[in-house]
Amino acid sequence: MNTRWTLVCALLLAPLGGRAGAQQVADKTGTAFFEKNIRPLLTARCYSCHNASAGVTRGGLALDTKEGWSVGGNHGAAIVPGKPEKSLLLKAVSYTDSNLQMPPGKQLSADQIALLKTWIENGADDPRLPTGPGGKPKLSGLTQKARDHWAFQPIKKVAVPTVTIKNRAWVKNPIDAFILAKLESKNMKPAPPAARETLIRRAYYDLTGLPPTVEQVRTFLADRAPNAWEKVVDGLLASPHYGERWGRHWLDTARYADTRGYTNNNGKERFEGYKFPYAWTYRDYVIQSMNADKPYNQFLLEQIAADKLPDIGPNDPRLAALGFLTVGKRFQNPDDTLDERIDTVTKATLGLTVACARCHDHKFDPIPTADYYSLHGIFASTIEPLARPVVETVGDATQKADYEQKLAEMTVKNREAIYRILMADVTQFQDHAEGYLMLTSVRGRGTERYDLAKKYGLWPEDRDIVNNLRPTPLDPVLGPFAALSRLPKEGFEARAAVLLPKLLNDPKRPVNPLVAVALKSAKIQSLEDVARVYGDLYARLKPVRNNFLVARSTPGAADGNVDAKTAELLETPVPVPPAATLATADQQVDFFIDRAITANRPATLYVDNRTGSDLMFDAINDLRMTHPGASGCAMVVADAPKPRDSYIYIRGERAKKGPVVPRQFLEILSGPERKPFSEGSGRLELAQAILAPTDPLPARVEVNRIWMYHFGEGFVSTPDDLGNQSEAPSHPELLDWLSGWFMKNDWSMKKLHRLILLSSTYQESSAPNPTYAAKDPGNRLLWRANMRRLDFEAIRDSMVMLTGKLDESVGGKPVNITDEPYTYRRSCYGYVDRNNLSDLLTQFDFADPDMANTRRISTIVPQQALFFLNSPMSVDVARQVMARPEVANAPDDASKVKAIYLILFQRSPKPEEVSWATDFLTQAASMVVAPPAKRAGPQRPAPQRPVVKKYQPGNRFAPIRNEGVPVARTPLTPWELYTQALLCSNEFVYVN
Amino acid sequence: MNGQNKAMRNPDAACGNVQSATSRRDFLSRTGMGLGVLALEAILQETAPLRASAASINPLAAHAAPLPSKAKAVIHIFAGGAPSHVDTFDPKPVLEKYRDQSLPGSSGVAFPSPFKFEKHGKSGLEISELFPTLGGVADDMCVIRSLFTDVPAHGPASKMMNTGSLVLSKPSLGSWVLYGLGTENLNLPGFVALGGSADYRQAAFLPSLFQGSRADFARNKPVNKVLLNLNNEFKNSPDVQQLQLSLAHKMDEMQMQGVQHDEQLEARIQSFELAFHMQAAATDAFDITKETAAVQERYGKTELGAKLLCARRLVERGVRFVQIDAGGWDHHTNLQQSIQRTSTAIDQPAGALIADLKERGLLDSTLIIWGGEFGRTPTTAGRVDQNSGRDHHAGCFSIWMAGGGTKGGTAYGATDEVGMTVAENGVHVHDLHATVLRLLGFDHTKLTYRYNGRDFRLTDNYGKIVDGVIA
Repeated sequence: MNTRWTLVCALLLAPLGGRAGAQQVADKTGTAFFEKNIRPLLTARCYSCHNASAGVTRGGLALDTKEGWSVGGNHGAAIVPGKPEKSLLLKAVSYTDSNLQMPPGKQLSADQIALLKTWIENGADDPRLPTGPGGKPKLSGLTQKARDHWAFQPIKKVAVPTVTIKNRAWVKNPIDAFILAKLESKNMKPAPPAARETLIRRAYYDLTGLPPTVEQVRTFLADRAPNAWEKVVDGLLASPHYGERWGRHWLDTARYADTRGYTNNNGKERFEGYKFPYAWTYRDYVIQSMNADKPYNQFLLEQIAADKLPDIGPNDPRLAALGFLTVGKRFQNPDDTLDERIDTVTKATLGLTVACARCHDHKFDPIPTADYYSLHGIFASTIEPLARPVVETVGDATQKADYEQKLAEMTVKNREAIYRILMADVTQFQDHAEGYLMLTSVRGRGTERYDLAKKYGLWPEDRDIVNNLRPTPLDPVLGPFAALSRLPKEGFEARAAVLLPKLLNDPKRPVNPLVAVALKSAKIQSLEDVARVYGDLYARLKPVRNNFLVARSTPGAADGNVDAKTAELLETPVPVPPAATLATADQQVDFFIDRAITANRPATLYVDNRTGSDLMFDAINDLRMTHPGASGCAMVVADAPKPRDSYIYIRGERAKKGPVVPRQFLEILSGPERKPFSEGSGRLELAQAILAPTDPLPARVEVNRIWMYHFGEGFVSTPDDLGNQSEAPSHPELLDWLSGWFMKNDWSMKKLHRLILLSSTYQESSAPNPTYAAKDPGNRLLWRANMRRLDFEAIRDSMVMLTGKLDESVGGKPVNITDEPYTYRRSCYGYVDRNNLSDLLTQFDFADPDMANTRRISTIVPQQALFFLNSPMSVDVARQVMARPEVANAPDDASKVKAIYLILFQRSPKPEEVSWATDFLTQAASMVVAPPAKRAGPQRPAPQRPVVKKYQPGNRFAPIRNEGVPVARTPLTPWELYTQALLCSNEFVYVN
Repeated sequence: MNGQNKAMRNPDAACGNVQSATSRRDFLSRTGMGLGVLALEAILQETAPLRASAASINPLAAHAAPLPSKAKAVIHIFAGGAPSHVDTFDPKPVLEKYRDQSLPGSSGVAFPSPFKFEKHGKSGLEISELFPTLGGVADDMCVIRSLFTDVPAHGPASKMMNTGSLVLSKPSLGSWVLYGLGTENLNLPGFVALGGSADYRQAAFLPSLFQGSRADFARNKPVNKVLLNLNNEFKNSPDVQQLQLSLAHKMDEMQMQGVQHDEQLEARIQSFELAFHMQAAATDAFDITKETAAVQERYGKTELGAKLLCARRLVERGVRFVQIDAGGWDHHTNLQQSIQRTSTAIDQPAGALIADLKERGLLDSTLIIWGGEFGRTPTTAGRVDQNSGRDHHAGCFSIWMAGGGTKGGTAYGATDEVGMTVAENGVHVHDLHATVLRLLGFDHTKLTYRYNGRDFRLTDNYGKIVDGVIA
């Protein structure tokens, strides 16, 4: 302690002794008492270690704010107002507990302790608010101000503005009235309507993610009927491609992926597989729901609790909705997996970052930690059952039969591999039972164990078997050894003589009769003698062991002429169940894994890389995911048999339990009638509460999202967070009006799209206006349309469409959309590996599938350009366009150019564009390294194709691979180069 | 163990840092204080000329760090698997005294290092005989012996070292650096990962242009295939590509007439120019055979030799962050033999890298970081014999840095006499990150990104700059 610090302390402490008594008498409550007596004391003696604003909170405890001591540190709340006996702070300063003495070094004086006690007894008034940067009071999530935030208020019934509007003719529906009123209030007016060519392209990309064909454009341009536009919109909403486009948007929010994420060599994915073989059934459910215009509230309800719906059948396709909960990332720590689910559910349905309240009350929103753990209890009481209902049958009879046969073969191989592991473990242990048992009696990993292991010839190999072996006294075979191994060495013989008969005659813990007989007849002087009894027993059983193991591993075989008591011995230390119980792949998975989300793998069986290499779990998983005859199952959840409320984890740490909180909905959104959930886990009640009329958020959140996808920016720019940290909405009245309208119109997304697309606002052009750009550079007021770059899916799907080979089938197993051999399926069917997202996807701003990400950021990097310049995909597209009959059969160059333009841009080339083409072709012809041989007929020289590594099923981390051949590496013709160049233009990837 | 860590915790610092979002562009609204792009914001306001050059709006364009600093680039050599500290950079001769005896804090017995330590250079920095070449550049090395982390498991701890988070998906160190500083050479990716897990180069919630580009680089692999789509396998010549670009450019110019000005359109046009140049620039940058035979020999004709030489070439050309996977340190058994192999593999290339950068005048501006995710026990299971190995240990471990404004010839912090716990000046991984950012000119509490209503930073709510390693 330096001199200056000492001086400060002295000044602060000096008055305390003298005046304290008088002050206590005068007034023991209120801030005056605090300011006079308590603040100086805390400042002088506690702040050096417990001052959050200075960045020191030893033991997690801050004493510089009221919040600091009420939340408390690692041991919980430091002060309970009115209850000095329950206040840890008082306990610490009183030095009664040798493990908790504060401040360390020099105890407070008796007077000072008395002051603290008085202060706490009288309610511990403390005016100190948390401070943010600049010393201003910090926003606190639990204040009335935080509760008053607009998003938590009921949806207002808003009148459509009419009075003030000048340009009434522009108003096609109420949306326009709101937009126009705001524009006119700033002396602005909307941009003129977009050209019809622009408009139809905009609508096609918006609603289906695909460009219109030239015929579709022509039809629209020629249709002069007043409802021509309406017809286009209705046609697009009825297209199955609508669901593919909007389903993919929702999959961003639902952080869809086909893999589990976290990997650990001995974790669950070793058995369950790293890939989710059935995630695609959730994706298909989403697409189908969009296409069917399933009411959004029903859509949410099913995704949270389809299994709890009264009318749900055993193989109801709606069960696939539960993938919403299960396709997320998995973690080693089950609490992290639960947290991920809480985070996704609350962001997706409520636009709230509830997961912030895992370790502390939410800093900005009225969400206390208790509310987080109320949701935690719901998801912790939810399990993933092994039986997964079949919800989508695919493939023809031949494919199905082929699948069943392959699955059966693999299952048999896997069963055999499992038995090899079991038999190896059993044999290894039983052949060295004496040594292994002795090793279990040694604690630690020091010399004693080493010397023992050497003595029994067990060092250094196979130590993992014994590391995992922990016999308990309850074990009918090893129990007696476990009990005796706890006796001290001194006087072992005498003690054992007393204990052993008790062990062997305890009716509550029956001992295997063979073991009992052997132990009774043996002379036991030391623990080694006990171990030797087991060793001898196993040596005697060796002749029957092999028969037994083979019989167990053979389907339909009898038990190898072994009685039950012998079998029990031979099934030690790992169970060797009859083959019939490991007949199916699911049974095999279940043998290794307790599927309750919160349960851990039993540690009895050790599978390492050596013994585990024959296991077929990954191969079976891949087969289920990729075989055309494998049906799709729903990744369902179910309620745990015994649902439980969760403890609050202090600071998010599982080991530090606070009070138990009931399973219930967030307080801020519950209305006055908040009740704990009582039905199973409470998931259905949760879903109902989310969608209750008292909760204004789901409608607002979804309306905001839909608006964002149509206009490039939502009313609120953070679609997954409408809380206190979000920017104020650009058009709060319109947002509320639309939210009310949405709910009134059956939560129909299609009706909402229609309303939006038929508005004048949607049909504005993107014409520039420098004056407006200066006033409102972000175009928040929508004085024009926003020009936007297509996202990855729309770019790739457009390219696929240009080939004329787009596979229009809806739904199905995932495909590889980034690697050769390419597929002509739409991008929404792409395989997504969340741990190893394809480089191409990340280069094009694909949403991070580890968390809900409704909004994609659009970046521009040269790697995107390299894709157009060099990727086999762009070459393939250029070639396929040139091969299309309307291009290939065009009579002359000009008509070829025109045909290409119609395919790529759905418009005719301008005259200068035709002449650019001619120039290009002439110059390119002189540059092409090896001019292609004149094609006399349909034959082409045998194309050079790169060697693609053969797909190895069962490689856990390998991406799936499509059938087909890679793109030939032959040089491009000038025409192909020309078409490839057009793909590089901005016009191709921007929608205006 | 991590009492010090907890002491630094200050939840109010980040969660409570309310920054009003007033800027109009989404990207800028998310960036924190202390960032060069603040200047860009001004450019983008009303005063901006309508046709601002596309380069000025490229968030990858180089921007100056807010604080004075020397380091401009980082080469992070990630020694995954967790190198043993007591055999490499933290001498513990006392372990010999306790050989085969149990030590408090571990279940095994004391395992003295089979390797000798020697003092090197003017500084007398003690380094194990496993690293003879590094011994020669000891005066440029700054060893931290008191590093510690939270979990002794490879997955989470590696994530912690590379992203500052044990479990959650957070941006990588390299992504934060690229986000903070941009890159000096737009013809090359600003953040290149030569191997390593995808986690270690992920941008997570940062825009994906800050993600590390995976380079499929190996000594005998064709250099033009190092980056995805770098090579045109259809023999489109540069002339042909120029022709293609000029056609696309003509179309773009025409399209931009009369439509809304959008700097994105211009940026995209420019991205094609960059891509065109990247083909040659990257192929050249990754081509280590362009180095003289002597230089190649100096780094050693091994995989790591190639990677570190490549890293130097990249940094020389303005790449901001190079991540190198140099793992293989998980020596549970047979440590004596296997650590020798792993050490030899990195010793010569790393020593060459330091010396080479110094000779080229680049060491001051290049921060080299070598280290793993945690340390290993000073003990072994059983008795010390030729099979002995060391187990995982998060309580303390050593890393070294060189260049970039670090204090050469230093050993910072100390462990106890057996290398079990931190004895003085503990440095949590968050503190290391704070220090690395400081070396690059950032206050780690101010390099933030707004995501889901919160300002995130590399160091979460933690981190304390270690002044003792900064020259």
